[in-house]
Amino acid sequence: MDTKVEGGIRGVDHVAYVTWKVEETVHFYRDVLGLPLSHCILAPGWGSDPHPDFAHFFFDIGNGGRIAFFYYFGEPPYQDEQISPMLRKARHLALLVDTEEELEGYRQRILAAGYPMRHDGNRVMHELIESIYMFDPNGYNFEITRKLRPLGVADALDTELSIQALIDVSKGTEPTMAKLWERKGALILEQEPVSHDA
Amino acid sequence: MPSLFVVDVPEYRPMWECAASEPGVHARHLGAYVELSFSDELRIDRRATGVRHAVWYSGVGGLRGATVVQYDKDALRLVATSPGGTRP
Repeated sequence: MDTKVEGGIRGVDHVAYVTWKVEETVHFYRDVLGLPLSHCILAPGWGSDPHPDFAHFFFDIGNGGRIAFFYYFGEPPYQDEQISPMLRKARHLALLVDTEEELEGYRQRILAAGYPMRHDGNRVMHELIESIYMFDPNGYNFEITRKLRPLGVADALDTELSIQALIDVSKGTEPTMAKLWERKGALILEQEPVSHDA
Repeated sequence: MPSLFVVDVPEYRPMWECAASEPGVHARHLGAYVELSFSDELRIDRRATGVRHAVWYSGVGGLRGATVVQYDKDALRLVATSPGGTRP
């Protein structure tokens, strides 16, 4: 489905990461996942000091979107030792498939290629999506997911009230889930919803 | 009366239906939600609902005058909020 939000944004063009493992990265994304390499920029002198020369290459992820990597010549591998496990796990890219068969197909490809997957290689059924998880050869957290059902009017209202309650509670002292639930309960009643016995 | 709100979408239906079958619990549809009102305590047994973990742990849509005292793999248990309790 090709849709736009107000203002015209209609999807992801690309997301970009840095890599020091070009061969492994190409193998994983092109050969294992089957994402075509669609573009590569060789840019001498364009990058800021101390890494003026770089390559920037893009894998096609469908619908015009791409996942891109920078390789900076002369730049030693860098890993932020201070990054917390919370951030390492929370930051991730999730790619979308349509069907259970497609999701399972990727799971089998990744396992057959010998890449370790998170959650013991199992598919994880969330409330509205089902996913598989892994770290790519660079250690970037990576997910493939499928939607279990389309979102509806109730989901949209619930999201709006959850976020308003979260904003309200997070501005106060000592935000807690208990405070959020109570605030959201008040917001639900402020909607003056129509009622009938269940 | 204290109450639990559950958003009225298919995933959470087993949760509110389970709760509504308990004695002393009154369920009513309220816009996009189901409100489950109770007097002192509401307990929902997770296994009785049959829902998967991600649904179970995201099932509380909102509260009125109620405090969660248990929310784990076994049960969700709510009690009436005591005066000076958790209201923000």
